[in-house]
Amino acid sequence: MKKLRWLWVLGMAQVLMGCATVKPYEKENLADPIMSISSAEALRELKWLEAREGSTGGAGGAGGGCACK
Amino acid sequence: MRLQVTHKGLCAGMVAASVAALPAVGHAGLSDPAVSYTFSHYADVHGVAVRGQYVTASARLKDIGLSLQWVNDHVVFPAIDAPPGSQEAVDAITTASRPISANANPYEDYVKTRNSIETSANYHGYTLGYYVSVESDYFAQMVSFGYNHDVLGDNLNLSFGGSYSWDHIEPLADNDTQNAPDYRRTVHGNVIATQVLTRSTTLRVGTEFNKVEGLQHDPYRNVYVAGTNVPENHPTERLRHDVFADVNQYINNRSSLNIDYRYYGDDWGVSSHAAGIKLNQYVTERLVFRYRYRYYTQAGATFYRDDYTAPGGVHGYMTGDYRLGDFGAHLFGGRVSWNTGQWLRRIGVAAPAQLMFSYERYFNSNNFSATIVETGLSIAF
Repeated sequence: MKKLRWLWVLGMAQVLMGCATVKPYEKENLADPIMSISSAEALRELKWLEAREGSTGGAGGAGGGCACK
Repeated sequence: MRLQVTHKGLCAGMVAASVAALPAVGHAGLSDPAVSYTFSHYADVHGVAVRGQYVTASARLKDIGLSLQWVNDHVVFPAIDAPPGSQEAVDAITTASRPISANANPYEDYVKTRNSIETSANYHGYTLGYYVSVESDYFAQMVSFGYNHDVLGDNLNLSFGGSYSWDHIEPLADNDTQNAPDYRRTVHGNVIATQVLTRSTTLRVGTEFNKVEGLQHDPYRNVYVAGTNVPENHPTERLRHDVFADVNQYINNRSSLNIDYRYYGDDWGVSSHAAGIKLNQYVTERLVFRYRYRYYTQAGATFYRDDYTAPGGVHGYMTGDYRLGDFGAHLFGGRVSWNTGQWLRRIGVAAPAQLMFSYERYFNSNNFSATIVETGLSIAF
């Protein structure tokens, strides 16, 4: 667990330092719909997964408020 | 009962008010309206079936982004499939996660519905939200807030969010378990960073925590402890946290690869690893296929036992919930989405739309399996 925490901290540091400067006109591929992450879909999935598994999270949304768990 | 009617009235009132408000909002300068409808169907090997409908509407009012979502879930718990009075029937009734009383015959299907409404407003990166959910035995409300900001030449997005929910639980009449009113409170927080790594790669990392207080076991379920049938009992406080990361890579043959990982842990002793991979591929200009696989493994709670041999369980706690034990699971499936382009003009809708259909299968090491089917339509006017 401690190793994972350190890995996560290192990952965050890497992100915060900024790995590259990509100009807006270079983001055509990043803007393609197949690159989008749907939070609505992730939250729908999390709802039924929470009813079948003992863990939660990863969708980046607010928690609580559902008896369907 | 009075509570139930009141909450249904509140929900119906909110829907009616929202619909009635739409024309007025239109006159007030509504722009970029979009609506989507998603139908999902879940069915598992235990006979539980959930039919969910999601209706989402969004628009802009000057600089404010508005969204409203209504969700309706229809859940069917199967009847006890064993001869009345048999030991198998007694065991099934004891461990059922549904009320059993004169009004809820164990040899008949039990049906419950859930309605929820979620609204949010977004202004220059700030988000405020409110959520209300109504069931016959559960009433939940939540307020949420968030802020996100682009920095480093719009190559890094930092997001912070939090929420507080307060739930009122009023178990229905049940023959042999606990039905006193109770509550649950949840405080949630998250920090997420999304970084553009290259022209075709993004990385997202985040962490979340939840502090949950109040009733966290099934009030309808009993557990055999030292040969005696007693109500399930979980701790009333739980601290949950997770860290996650996902990489999204665009590939030059018009496809993309998404790899994600999540670690979860809590103070009940449950810990888990989840890893997944998704491949999106354009088949034609408007048709996209997606294939996915997810692996999940978890270690169980410290008080979970397959059999409780000592009176009092483990430090007074006992559970019949397999989700708190050790197990592993696999999920795989596919999705096809079709951008209709101008096709909807033929039926009088001059707006781009997207149709989606997905089929997924879920298996775990407890001989459990489920099928999840979703279909949806999104229209951006």
